[in-house]
Amino acid sequence: MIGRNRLKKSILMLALLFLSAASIVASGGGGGDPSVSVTITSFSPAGGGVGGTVTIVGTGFSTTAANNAVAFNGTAAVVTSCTSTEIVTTVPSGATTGPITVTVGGHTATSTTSFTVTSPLAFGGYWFGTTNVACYWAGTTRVDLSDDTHNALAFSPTFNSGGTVYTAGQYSPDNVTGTACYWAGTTRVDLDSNGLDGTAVAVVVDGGTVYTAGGLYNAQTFATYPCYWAGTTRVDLPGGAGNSAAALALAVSGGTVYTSGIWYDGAKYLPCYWAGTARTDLAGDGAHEAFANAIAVSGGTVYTAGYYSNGTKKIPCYWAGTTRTDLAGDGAHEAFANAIAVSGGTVYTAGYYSNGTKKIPCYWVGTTRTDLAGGDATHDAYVYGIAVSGGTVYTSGSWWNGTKLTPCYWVGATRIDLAGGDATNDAQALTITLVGGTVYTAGYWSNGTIETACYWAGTTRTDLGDGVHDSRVQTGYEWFD
Amino acid sequence: MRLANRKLFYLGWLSLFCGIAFYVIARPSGSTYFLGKLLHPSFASQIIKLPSLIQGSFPDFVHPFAFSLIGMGLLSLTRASRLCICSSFLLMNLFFKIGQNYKYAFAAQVPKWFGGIPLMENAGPFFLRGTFDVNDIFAMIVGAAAAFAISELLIIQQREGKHDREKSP
Repeated sequence: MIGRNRLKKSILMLALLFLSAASIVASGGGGGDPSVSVTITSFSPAGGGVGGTVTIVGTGFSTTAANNAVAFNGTAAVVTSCTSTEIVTTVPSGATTGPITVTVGGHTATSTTSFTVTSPLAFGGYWFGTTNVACYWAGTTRVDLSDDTHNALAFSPTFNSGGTVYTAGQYSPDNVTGTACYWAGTTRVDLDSNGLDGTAVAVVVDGGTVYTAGGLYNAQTFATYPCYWAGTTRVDLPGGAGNSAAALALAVSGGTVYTSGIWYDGAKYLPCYWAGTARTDLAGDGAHEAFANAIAVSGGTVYTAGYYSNGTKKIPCYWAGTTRTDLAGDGAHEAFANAIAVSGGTVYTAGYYSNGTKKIPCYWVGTTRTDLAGGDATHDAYVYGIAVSGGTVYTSGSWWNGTKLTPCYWVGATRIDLAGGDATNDAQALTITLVGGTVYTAGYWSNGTIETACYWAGTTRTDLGDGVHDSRVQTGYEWFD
Repeated sequence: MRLANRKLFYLGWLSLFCGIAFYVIARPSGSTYFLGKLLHPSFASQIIKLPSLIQGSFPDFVHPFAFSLIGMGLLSLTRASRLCICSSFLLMNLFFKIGQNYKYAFAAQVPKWFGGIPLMENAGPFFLRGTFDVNDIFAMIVGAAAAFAISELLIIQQREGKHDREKSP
């Protein structure tokens, strides 16, 4: 009898404890409503940088974007598009690692796993110790991709996907011949270089596949052969029958790999792009050299930018498909287009032109040129990068005052100088990107002895190098130069 | 079933209803799972604003307090078992509160099959969205201790009353 009573009391106590636990859980965690079930079942990628696209899958979402309030660990995000089961949004500025919440009509769903906010910035490059050491910088943290006994290089911009930084480059196991490779985080994946000196200069991750592009240099024939890699599978691109060619830029759209570059016809370099392995030649004047430096794919059209020579001077241009549009310099002197962006169906290119006295930085919206102010009336200035946001054109470069190069960027035509290292040595801003409304530029500065890789957030410089060893953020374009 | 102590039992339920009433009038319905389920979405705003210490920690006090009283009233009159009951509810509350401090680690342990099951589906959000405050820990300890102290007082009173009745002619 006593035993039965004790059993009954134990069961009652357990029931009370369960009821207690249930009431604790019920008293927190946010509201729900039987008639309005908002749930988050998954999101992808699991992490990423500010400005990155995130797809949230669940139920009960509003089909009106404004009615879905999405937050990353409490920081509100803008909904790009939505259906009742899927929301596409971007990681907002100021977001921190934590759960994603979706609130619809006062009802909130919270993801059960955290979204990992990674640095929006990742610049590939190298620093020099005993050899060139490939590395990337995420924020201010340098991540070495090789050791100081094997020559290696990495190229910027790197690609930050799902919290993993992908960097294209080259690794030399014997310090004689390089093997093209990419790094997923710090894990090096060697790419088939066919026994030649391979270099991958650009990387894109699309649909879970890592695409890289670059070329293979044959030291016997002094020729470079263009190729891209889908994963580790090398796809050779038709160049100039034994003569040099190189893929300098890479874009992936709709499952097709697009590369742009140049090929040598035995007498001159000619511009082209490859859609898959099909080379499409781009027309210069037919008699003189031309270059396609940059590529963008928008609305199914391939846009490339570069220049061609007419035998007297270099003329900047862009190609929409194969249709060349000349961009005006001063009409009498050479000019270059180094970068391209396509936004809202409008083609933006940036470069510089010479007026016979100095080089003048500029950008073109369509064919309308806007001159950018250099430092003075007599010295050169250069533009290397372009970004377009909200109809405003942002360009990066440097200007020369007769003594040193000063890094800068322009918002529209307004120049904003960036702090280099000192009053006498060069610094340049080579790349530009906008993340969460902040302008980020990357390049290097020199103290006369050491070049230090750095980036600027707005005008605030953050050094990426250690100040003891040379370091550079470098571009694929520089590789072939 | 015969109650061990009616006063403790009913005082416990009264405290629990006070706790529920607190949520209804002092917390937005969207902030808690059970209010979101029970109340119409239009009933979204809290009615009163209490001093922040009470606003934040009253539920943490009342929960171990009420359940300890109910448990003691239902089950036991010995001091050792009453201490055991109060400690059990205190430990349970501490477990969930500390879980809110290590939200990601605890939420990661919630089985995925909880999703879609009423109440259990809120286990993950409970850890992720809840806030940890040292005051809450103190409130829980005070709640459990107060319940035990009240039980001591009531039982001593009742024993003295019974003793007096037995002694009276």
